[in-house]
Amino acid sequence: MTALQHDVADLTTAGAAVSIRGVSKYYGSFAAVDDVSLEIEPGSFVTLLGASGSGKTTLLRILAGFLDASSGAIELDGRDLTRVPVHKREIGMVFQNYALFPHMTVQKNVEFPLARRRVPRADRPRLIAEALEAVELTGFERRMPTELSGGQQQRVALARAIVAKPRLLLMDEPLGALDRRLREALQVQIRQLSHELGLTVINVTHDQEEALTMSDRIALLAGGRLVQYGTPYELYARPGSEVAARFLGESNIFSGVPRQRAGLWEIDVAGESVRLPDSSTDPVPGEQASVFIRPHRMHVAPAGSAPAGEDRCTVTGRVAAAIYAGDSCKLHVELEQGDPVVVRADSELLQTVATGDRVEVSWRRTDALLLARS
Amino acid sequence: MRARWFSITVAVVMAVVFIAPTIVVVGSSFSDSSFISFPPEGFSLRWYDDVFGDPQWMRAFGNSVAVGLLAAALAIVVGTLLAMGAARSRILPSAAVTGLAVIPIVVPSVVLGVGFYIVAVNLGFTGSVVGLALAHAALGAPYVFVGVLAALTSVDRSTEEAARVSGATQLGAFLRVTVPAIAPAALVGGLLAFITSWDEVIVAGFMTSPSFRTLPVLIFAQVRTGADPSTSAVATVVTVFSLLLMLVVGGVSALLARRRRLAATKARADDTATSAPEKGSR
Repeated sequence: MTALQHDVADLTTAGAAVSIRGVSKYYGSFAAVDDVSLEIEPGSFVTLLGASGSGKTTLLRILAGFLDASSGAIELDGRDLTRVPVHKREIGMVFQNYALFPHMTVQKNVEFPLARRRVPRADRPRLIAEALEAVELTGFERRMPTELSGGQQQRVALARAIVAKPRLLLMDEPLGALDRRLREALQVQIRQLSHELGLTVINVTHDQEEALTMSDRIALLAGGRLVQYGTPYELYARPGSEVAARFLGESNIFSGVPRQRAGLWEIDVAGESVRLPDSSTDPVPGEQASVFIRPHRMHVAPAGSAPAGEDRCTVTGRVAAAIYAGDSCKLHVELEQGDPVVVRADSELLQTVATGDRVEVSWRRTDALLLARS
Repeated sequence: MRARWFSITVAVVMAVVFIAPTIVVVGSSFSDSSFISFPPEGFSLRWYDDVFGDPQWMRAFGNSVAVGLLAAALAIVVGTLLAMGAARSRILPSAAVTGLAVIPIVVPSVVLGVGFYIVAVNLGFTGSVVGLALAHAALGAPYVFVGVLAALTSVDRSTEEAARVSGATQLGAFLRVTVPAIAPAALVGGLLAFITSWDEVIVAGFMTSPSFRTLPVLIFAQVRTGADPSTSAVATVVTVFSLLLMLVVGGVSALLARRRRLAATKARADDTATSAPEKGSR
C-alpha cells in the first residue's frame, strides 16, 4: 500500500475537542474505570494504551455510548454527551473484528451511515466513492464482506466510519486481528488519513509499538486509572512512574534508599554505590527511590574494559543468557546482588561476549532517570 | 481389504432395510389389484385417481398443509425468540433457555400428546387447525432454535453496535442487521418444522377429531380398518412431498456453503495481492 495522495477535501471536517471529566465506571464495588480525566485537542490522534483489564475499552465504550459512566461527564466541543443516545452522537467507530454487515455489499455497508442520517440520496454515491477512494478500495463496491481479506474488511469498516464525516473517530483495537505486515501498512494509512481529514481520533490498543508510532498523545491506563498522559516521546523517554516505565518498552529499574554524599545522591546497585541522575526533584531522604535505564542505553564490555569516566556508572556481573535477534541482541546479566539487568546491543557484541562471561555493564549518568514512586 | 468389504456389506444391508418399506409402499400404490401386494400385480394409476377424487383425502391434505404452514410460522417466531434469549439474555442463563427450548425433542411424543390434549380440551381447541398447529409449533420450534442460535453466535454483537454508531436505533439495528443475518437459518428451521408437522401422527392423533384429520392420521386410521392400495398412493404422495422439501433444505444449505467457500477462495487470493510489498494502489 502506498501513501495516500488522493483528494479527500470533501470528507474533511474540523475534529472535535473531547473532554473527559472524572469518568468512573463501577461494576459493584469494582472500578473498571476510576476517575479518568483527559482533555483531547481537536484533530489530534490519542491512544488509550493499557493491558487487558486496564479500563481502556470500557472508557471507549462509554465514549461511544454503549455504556453509561457511573459518574463523571463527557463533552464533545463543550456539549455534554451523557444523555445523548449512541445513534445520535454522530461519531464514527471501527471495531476489532471489522463488524461489517455480512449481508450487504461494500457499497451498502458504506452507505448505511448516510442512509441512517438521512443524507439526500443524490449526494450518497459521491461520498461513498470518496470514502472508498480514501481507503484505496475503489472498484470493490459490489463485493460482499466475505469476499474480502481481513485488511480489506477493516478498510471498508474505516470507510464506513468516516463516510458521514464524523468529527470524532473511535477505534477499538482496529488492527488487532491482522498480521504484522498488514498492521504496519495500515498504521501508516490510518495515521495519514486521520491527518488529512482533520479528525479527532481515539484509538484503543494494548500494542505499545502501535501507540508509539500512531499517536499524537498517549493515555496510559492501568487498573482503571490514568497513569500518564503525554506525547509518545514523553511516555517513552520520561515515564512518570514505574508503571509507565515498565509498560512501554523494556526497562531496568533499580530501587534503593538514596543517601547523600558530598552533595550528590547515591543508591546501592549490586553492592556498588551508583550516583543518581540530576533531576529537578530531589529524592526524599530515607524513602525508597527507583532509577530507570533503557536496555539500549546500557553498555556491556568484557570485565576490565568498560569505558570509564566521571559521567558513567559501572556495575559488574555475569552473562546469564545471550539472545540473538538479527540486527540486535539481548543480554541478561546477573549482578552480584539484586535483579538481573537486560541490555540491548548491536548483535556484533556476541563476537566478544558469550554466556557465562564476566562483564561490566555501564551507562551514562544522564541516561538514568529517577522515577516517582507509584 | 476384508474390513472394507465388511463395511460395504453392512452399508448395503442397512440401505436395503431403510429403503425397502418405501419401495414396497410406492410399488404397491401402482398395483392393479384391490389388495396391497408386492411385487405389484399389473400397473395402473387408478388408486391415485381414487385418492385425488376423494374429498376425504383432499380435506386431510388441506388440513395437513394448513397445520404445517401455521406450525412452521409459529415455530419460526418462538424458536427465534428463544434463540435470542439464549444468546443475549442477561437475566436467564443461556443453558436454562437452551434446556427449555429443546424439551419438545426430549420428551416422548405420547407424553406431549396427552399434555396438549388436556390443555386443548379445557380451552376448546381440539379438532381445530389452530390447536394442532400450536402443538406442532412446539415440536418444530427446537429446529428453528438450534439453527438461529448458531447463526446468532456467528453474527457478532458488534455488527449491531456498528449499526447503532452509524445512526440506527436499537430496534432499527436489530431489524436491518440481525434479522437478515439469521433469516436463512430461521427459514430452514421453519421448513424442518413443517416437515415434522407434515408426518407427525402421535400428537396429531390426540388433537384431531373425526371431522378434522390430517393425512398421517387418516392413513393410520385406514390401515387399521383394512387398507387398500389407495392408502399406499397417499403415502407415496406424502413421501414425495417430504422428499421435495428436504431437497429444498439441502439445496439451500449447499448453495450457502458453496457461496461461502467461493468467497473464501477469492478473499485468500486478494490477501496475497495486498500483502505483496511492491503492489501500488489500485
